[in-house]
Amino acid sequence: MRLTPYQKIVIIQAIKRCLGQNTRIWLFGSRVDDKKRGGDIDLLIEIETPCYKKSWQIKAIIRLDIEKQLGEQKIDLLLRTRADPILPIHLIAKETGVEL
Amino acid sequence: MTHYIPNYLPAFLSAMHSVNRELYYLLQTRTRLSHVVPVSSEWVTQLKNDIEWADIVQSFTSRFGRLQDIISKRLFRTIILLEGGEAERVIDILNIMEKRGILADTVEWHALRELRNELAYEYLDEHQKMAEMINATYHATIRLEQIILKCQEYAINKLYIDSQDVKA
Repeated sequence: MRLTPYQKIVIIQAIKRCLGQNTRIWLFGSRVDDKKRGGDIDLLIEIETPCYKKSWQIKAIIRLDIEKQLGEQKIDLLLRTRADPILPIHLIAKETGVEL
Repeated sequence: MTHYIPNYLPAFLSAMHSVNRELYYLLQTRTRLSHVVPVSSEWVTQLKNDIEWADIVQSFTSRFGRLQDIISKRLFRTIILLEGGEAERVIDILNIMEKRGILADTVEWHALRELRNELAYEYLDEHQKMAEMINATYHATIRLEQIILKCQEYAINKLYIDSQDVKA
């Protein structure tokens, strides 16, 4: 996994601050591969219960929180509630990714 | 005495005019949608059989995205240059716009950007989600218009740029 311990903790804290401690997070995509370099930080975020905020509002809050601490980052956030139907991309993220 | 760096005036006015033009087209498309908003997931489902409405939705959402891009990449930047300032990072640009009173808060702008990103993904199979996004974009258009008016007001009242030029 190519995230520094500091990046990892900032990401986890920002997401859980916004969505609660029971939120699960997977890193997937090129950042999971130690042989590659650079690349976007792809994250699947799974919330236990639906949130009254819209997905774009949640993403804005999380992204701002992360960028305040790490500077501008190329982060791709994928959001799902546990009750939502699981899409192929969610399966790929879980199967090939690493839970943070 | 001018209250801005004259060298950057053409770039600012060019950005302002693009924004005014794009806003005009966006509001025209928005008016067409006003008869059906708020749309339901069933309404989105039947879009596949209704090319005319599918085209209206497509042009509305892409115009929304394009206008937002021009505002942040050109209009905000040239306002800062006009003032004699410099800012490269998006977060810095937005903070300056917040201080000038052009943006009410930067989180809202970021949310509009995320909405634009989600629209670009086209959740074609997630009709409920698509309906929510169309309705949100419909309302967010008014926010973009208000932000543009704030930019005009700032240019006219604080930088003393001719209002005829700004509104053209």
